[in-house]
Amino acid sequence: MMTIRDTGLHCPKSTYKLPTYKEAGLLNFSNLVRTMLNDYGVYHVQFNTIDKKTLIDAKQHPEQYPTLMVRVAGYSVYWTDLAERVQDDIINRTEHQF
Amino acid sequence: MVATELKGGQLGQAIRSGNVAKSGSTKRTQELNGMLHANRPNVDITRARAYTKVYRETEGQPPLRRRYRAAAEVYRSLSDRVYDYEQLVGWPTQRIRGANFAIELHAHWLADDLPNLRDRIYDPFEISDEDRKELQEDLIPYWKDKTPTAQWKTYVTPEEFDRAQNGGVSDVSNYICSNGSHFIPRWTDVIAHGFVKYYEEAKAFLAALDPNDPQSIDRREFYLGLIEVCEAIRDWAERLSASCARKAETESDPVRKEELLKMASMMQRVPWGPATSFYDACETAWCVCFFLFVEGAGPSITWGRFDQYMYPYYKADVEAGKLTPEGALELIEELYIRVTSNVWFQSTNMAYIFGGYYRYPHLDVGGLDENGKDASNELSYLCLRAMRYARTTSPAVCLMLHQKTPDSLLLEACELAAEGMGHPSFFNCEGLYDMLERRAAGLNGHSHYTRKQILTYGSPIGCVEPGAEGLQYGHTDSGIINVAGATLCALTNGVKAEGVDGSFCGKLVTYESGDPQDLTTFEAFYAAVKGQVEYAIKEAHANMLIVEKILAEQFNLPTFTMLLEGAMEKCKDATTGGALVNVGPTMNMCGFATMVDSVAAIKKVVYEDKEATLAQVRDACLANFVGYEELRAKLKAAPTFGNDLDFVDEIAADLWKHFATVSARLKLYRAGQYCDAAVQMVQSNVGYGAMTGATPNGRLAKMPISDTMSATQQADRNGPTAAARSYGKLDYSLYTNGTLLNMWISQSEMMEPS
Repeated sequence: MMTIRDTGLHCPKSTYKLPTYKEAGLLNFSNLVRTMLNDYGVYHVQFNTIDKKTLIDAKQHPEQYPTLMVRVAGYSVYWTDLAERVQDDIINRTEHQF
Repeated sequence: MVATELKGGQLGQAIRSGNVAKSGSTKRTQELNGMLHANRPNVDITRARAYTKVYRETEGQPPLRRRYRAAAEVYRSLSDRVYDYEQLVGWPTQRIRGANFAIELHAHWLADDLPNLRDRIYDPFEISDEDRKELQEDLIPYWKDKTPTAQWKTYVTPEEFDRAQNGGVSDVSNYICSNGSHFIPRWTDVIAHGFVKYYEEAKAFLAALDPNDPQSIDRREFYLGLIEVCEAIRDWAERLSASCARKAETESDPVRKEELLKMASMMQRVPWGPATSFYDACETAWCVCFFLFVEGAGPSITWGRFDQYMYPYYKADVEAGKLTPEGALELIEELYIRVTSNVWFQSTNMAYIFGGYYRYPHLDVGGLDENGKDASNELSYLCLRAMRYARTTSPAVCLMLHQKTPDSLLLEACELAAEGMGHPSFFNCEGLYDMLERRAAGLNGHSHYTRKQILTYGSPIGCVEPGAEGLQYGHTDSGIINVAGATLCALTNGVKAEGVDGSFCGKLVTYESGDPQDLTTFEAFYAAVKGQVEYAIKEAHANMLIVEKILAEQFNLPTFTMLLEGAMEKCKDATTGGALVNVGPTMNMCGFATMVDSVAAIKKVVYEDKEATLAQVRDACLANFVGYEELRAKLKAAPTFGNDLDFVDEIAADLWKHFATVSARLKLYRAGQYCDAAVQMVQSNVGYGAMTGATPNGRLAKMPISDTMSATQQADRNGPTAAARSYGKLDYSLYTNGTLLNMWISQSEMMEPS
């Protein structure tokens, strides 16, 4: 099947900058998703992927993070729009590492 | 005022109003994103006015006639404004980012909150002085005693009314302000045929009625109402077409002039008639989505399997040389930006918990086709890629993952996840199909869905709720059961802790399940926990049945009804059982891991190690562990969920099953089907935590309880695989209304710092 990956996209005016991936980490991540859903039968999962230290800084200096978005639960939201106690709860969740 | 003096949502809007949020793959989508953020969320009273006008003119007439006519009046009152840069046409509101809210559902709280709407810290809304005056003096007084909440109040005692909203254990406050929500319309059909099909069908059904048949009286109202709504939709499209043409006349840029003329001719075709291109199909997808968001009041109008029903149009256009992948990408980005403009309007109390204006639109890619083969195509990739460019909060973009999903599509989704926006959600197709097979079917039944319907049309709705395109209707995030609070009640004989949020502090908030001194065995205590959970579920269910009855009798939804397969033949509105599968009210579990860890801690410390009595644990919890630090440390040291430890995971699996089993035995108001259980309640763990005393897992009073079905915060200490193994021990097929799991894997694991 021909996919977008094969055809490539030509967007010269785009604001998007392709990051440099850590291929091993990305592979770990996709394996975790596969294993958890397809093998262990978990129905749904979503991820916060902003580093905890970034969120701690963003709580102190929200004005420096205008477009920072986080996953709350079932939805994404701008960091600034969250009540502080919700920000605290998100920061207090477990940050996993591989 | 400089930005740094602002706080919360006020600050966010100020700092995003310039160029910073102008993201997109093209100049057009960048400008559209800029336009979105240049506008502040605002209150639009067009719908409120239309409803009030029609209801005043029709006093004493049949409720369905009044509702359908009011819905038609709303279409007649929609704005015909066309903005620069846009390719898609039509807005739900007079200004971008407006809330054309449902006054008939919100009037009771709006009376109190109206003065603070502009200045509240979370989810502030702009409103003009004139509109505020009209609301205050004319519209709110007409509606405030007619909302479902105001009517429900007359069916229950003042204590029951208060407890169901402020008690903090068995809660329906999220449910009562929503009607017309959680829906996947029959996209394939409406895009292929347009509303003219429903118009012609309604006319044919009307003509076939026998006036000597007693049933024909109500049926006549139903079809006449649908015809009026269809005509209003047709007239809306014509008005928008004329508006594009007028704008073209004065446009000096020849390229833009050509675009406007194209838009004008597109609006002559859709949504009234069949889509003839990917562009037309996007327009129908956009306007039907916002029609439903305006007609209903609730969240989660869902695009469902967008990459499937849009693909024939995409493929034909690409093959004919009329469309490039980049052109399709730009249209998808525009859909994302437009749907993000569709803000949710909620009370100040609710905004404090669910802030961010999010209205839960949802779009899926991947999955299987009707023959069980991998269904992914170029659009699956484009929809994921579009979110990287557009960077919008909405819609929730989701991957339906299956064993057969290509690794390349999963990788595309994982790369999007690494961007840190929280997109996409990952769904396990087999789990989804299991849930749909049992949807609303009770403990051992089979849903009305065929396997083929599930494979072709099944997808999640809103956050995670299983649904099917055009085949299912019902409110899916309704009763909230704070099982952490219920567990504490098993220690306190049903009494809520002192000094926490909400009402009933220090008073009986559930029922007397036994004095802790009499719960001498773990089995006796465990039965008390289960009893408390069951009591809370049943109380919420009883309240919601009353509201479902009120909604079915007075709050009908004509556009939803047309977009349900078979509802017109059955002559049944969506709210009265027009769908093939009618769901809701459903039951949501909140604080699952707090309950599980609390029960495991008591089992270990009280009944196995005998380090304390149950009464001492109760005293410690009610004292918020002051003076009980040693006991708290012992309780905290017990095994916790999320570490692949069978001691606690077995308790988890059993309590998980208990909640679903109790729920599945309860009948729905509509169509003889059964209640579905879920674990999905977004950020409610913070609000319900504030209403909950200290719990036996060592959590302090008023602190958040565990979120959704996730392990307790910081309690899953053995890495993501161990956590995943614990989650894998739960039976997902029991949760026929879906489950939601949050995990956190840091960006720095997957990409280099920018």
